[in-house]
Amino acid sequence: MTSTDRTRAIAFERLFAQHYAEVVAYGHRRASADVAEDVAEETFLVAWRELEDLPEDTLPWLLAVAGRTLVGYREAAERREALLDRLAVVPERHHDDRFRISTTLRSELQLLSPVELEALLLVAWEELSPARAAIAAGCSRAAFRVRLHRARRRVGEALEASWRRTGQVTGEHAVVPAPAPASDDPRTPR
Amino acid sequence: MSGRDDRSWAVAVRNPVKDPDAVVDPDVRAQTLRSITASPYPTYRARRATWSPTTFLAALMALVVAGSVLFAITRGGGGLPGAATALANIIESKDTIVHIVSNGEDAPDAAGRARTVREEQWVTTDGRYTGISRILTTRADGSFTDYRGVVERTRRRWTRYDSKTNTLMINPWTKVLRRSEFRGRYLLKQAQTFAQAVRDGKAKLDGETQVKGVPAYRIVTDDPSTIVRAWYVSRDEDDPRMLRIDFKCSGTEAKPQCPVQTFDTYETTNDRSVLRLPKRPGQKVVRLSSNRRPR
Repeated sequence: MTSTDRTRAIAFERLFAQHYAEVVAYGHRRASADVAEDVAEETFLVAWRELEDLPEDTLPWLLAVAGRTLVGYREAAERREALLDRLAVVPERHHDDRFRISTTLRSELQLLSPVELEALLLVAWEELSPARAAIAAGCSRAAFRVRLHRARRRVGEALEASWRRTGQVTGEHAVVPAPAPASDDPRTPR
Repeated sequence: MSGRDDRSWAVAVRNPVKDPDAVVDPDVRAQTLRSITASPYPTYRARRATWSPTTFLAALMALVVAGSVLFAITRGGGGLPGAATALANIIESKDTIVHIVSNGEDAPDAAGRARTVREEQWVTTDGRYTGISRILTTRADGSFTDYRGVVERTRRRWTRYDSKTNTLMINPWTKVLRRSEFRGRYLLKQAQTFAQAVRDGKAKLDGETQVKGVPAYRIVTDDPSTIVRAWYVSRDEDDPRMLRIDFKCSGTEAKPQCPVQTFDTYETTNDRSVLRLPKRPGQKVVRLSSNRRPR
């Protein structure tokens, strides 16, 4: 191993140690454990190949790669299921549930489009600031803010209506505090 | 938002993994790190820095000189050892080797139709990755008339099958294979095996076999558990970048003869290669691209 290789390996190991858990958690929140580990593995493989060109803030970049990888897995699973349907030769059909989001989301969230939901989850689950989450979502900051704003508004309105009906703020889900607002959060008091 | 908590949306989003470290399996983590750092990476990759005009001019001149020298040598018929070395070099530039072993089992489906369930094992010869795939083959009149494949991606095995494009991706950085059908057992050997075989003298120029007029190498595997197979490898005469690999599978008393299959392979980048089947009417050749960089 040359010194360049060694330097490269050390840099990668540092990156890996820093963000592996976060990338695996990203997968866990959206898919099953085995898929999450595979997604993390492929994500870091891409990082290994692109190590010299990684941005300074690597986590949003890694999550963007992980997101795309997950989409690829999900599409492959859908194609596989479609093929099995066409073949109709497997006696016991079961839908692949490895790609369901790993918690039952409240019905209010089902009002959101996939991009709006992802915007919300990147902020709520991954605890990214909107600026970083925009990188992970692969869109501009402005577009991300619009998505996030719409998502919050819709969910907020739906929840308010729900609370008015039931007269309580409890449900099957525990009420969790919102993520700490980041410095560039538009709702942060300036 | 009168009367509504600004963050009421957060109520609806319970974080299922509050502590990322809690979901990390240390063994998987260590294995992942090992496997990635052991994988090849493109050291050849061009830097994105802009060349200065002087550097560009110098590089261009060097290229022209080198090309002229190479041309003179090859036309002169003296210097280079010939196609064998060039071919071996081309092949050597690829790396992973894949063996495919398949076992078939006849079993009627729920509707009573005949079908064969196949299990294939993919093993890279460096021993790092294996994968099991299930191939469901419907049969009619005792012959394989319809082929549909499903490759199950097993845990931490990087094998994907795209039924739309009939494309199999072995792992993200090296191999993309396409294939249409197979019969019987066969062994798929790829570049490095061949290059090694050439070096070891196991692959020899076969004077009798020519592929598109070019003498081809013949490799006969010595695996006693399988039938005699031979690969014929030559450079495509139309496109020197293309490596033509013809696969021939001769039968034994236990197995019927396999049809000759022809693959064209070409390099798109140094870390990706595609084995391409001959085009059939309506068949589209699709290249799977590697993960793109996010914006």
